[in-house]
Amino acid sequence: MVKKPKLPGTEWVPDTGDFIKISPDLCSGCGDCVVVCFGDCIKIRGGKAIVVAYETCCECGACWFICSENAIEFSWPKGGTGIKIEYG
Amino acid sequence: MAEQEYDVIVVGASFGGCVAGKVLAEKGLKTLIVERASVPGEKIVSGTGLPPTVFLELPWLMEAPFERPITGLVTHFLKRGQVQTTVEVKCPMPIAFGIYCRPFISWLAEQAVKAGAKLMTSTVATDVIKERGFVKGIVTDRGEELRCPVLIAADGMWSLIGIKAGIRKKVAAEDIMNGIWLDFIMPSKEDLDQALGGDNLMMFWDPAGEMLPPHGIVGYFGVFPCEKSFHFGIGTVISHLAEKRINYDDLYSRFFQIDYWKKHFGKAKLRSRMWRPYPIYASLDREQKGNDRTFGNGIMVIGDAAGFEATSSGAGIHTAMISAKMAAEVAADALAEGDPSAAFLKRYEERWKSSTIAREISDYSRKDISRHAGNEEQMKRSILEVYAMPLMTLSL
Repeated sequence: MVKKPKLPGTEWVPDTGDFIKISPDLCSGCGDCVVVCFGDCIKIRGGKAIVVAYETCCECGACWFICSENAIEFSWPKGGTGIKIEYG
Repeated sequence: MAEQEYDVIVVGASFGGCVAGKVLAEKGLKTLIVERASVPGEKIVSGTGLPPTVFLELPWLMEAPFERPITGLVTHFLKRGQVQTTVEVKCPMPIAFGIYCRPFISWLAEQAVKAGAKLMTSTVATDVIKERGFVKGIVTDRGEELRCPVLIAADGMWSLIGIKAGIRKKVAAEDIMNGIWLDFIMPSKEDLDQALGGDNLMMFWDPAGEMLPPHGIVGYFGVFPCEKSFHFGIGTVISHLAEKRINYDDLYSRFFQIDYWKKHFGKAKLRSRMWRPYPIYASLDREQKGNDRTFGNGIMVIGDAAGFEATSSGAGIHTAMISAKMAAEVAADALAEGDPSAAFLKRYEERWKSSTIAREISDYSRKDISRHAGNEEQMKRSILEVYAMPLMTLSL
């Protein structure tokens, strides 16, 4: 089933799996990943970053690139799922 | 040969991966291209402006679906939120071609399949198989082991396969840019022609840093045209985004208040909002940063995965496709010799290092622009030297 997400010109296929994992042990709660995520996919809860949504994730990996604590493990959504971009 | 075994596996059916697959298949090699999307190209975002230099290496690309030839560059300089100065440069031949990634890559994938490559979509390569120091294939997200003596990693700037193979490192946040790309559509091609003043790529520079806080590398708001639609956006270095807490919605809201934009692009309708980082500075000081390796035992890395982005123009599609051809040819030679070792595959590095790729990824001129931050007149001169003057000499 393909969903229409909040990003115009895109579609989103669910059942991606948990492809961005943030380690609470390594996370310092600095919030850099929150700032660089254009999809608002990450929030700080209880002083730690957590992924709150995948529907607006463009799978850019900016969160992974910026994390200075190596707390973020970035991989890909399950094959055929996640964002589909028509006008890239 | 069992269906789980191939001569070459290419990870990623994007610009580089599809070219590699076509070249390999044409050489009679059993070739598999593995792609995580369900349709090649549907997860790719780019500017774009494809330089015609690619036709010298890959003349068959002239049949690809291009949207618009770009024969000029319009450079606007902003001051106090308005266009202050404009410089226009025209060329007698295209300097680039506007494309959309999804149809272009889908066409490329079709060419690879027509040549005899097998395309496996909706499949993620989650790991490499390593035996006695050699990469011997991949593991998929379905747990399959797909084997090959030579692997070509074309999986983009994250280079996850190269990292798993132990020959690449994650690009530093200060060496990679990101920015929101917007796609707009005009009512007609003629409306866009009028807004652009022709087949022009348009840049809006902010030399005083009034709109976007200056960072180490100055950027421009770009209009990359297609037939009756265009991409708009500006990138900034990811570490700078974090440090300055830049809000792109605010930034673009301010930009769209510019009188020039309202007057010429008032008919534009937003069609898409997306983003994709690009390793624009992944190659600067590459050897000092220890991320210069593009081959190993049984593996070669091409395109963005190898950091092959032209540092001045930001173009990476042509270098991806040219490096793909080189890697495919070296792979074929290695297999003919029965030697997929790093000692043999080093020929791939020797080839790209003696090609235009090496020159383009070591062009420091964009940093020259930033050196003049704070001195508007000098920065304007530098911008014109880097971008407009080379095009002016083309027209002479």
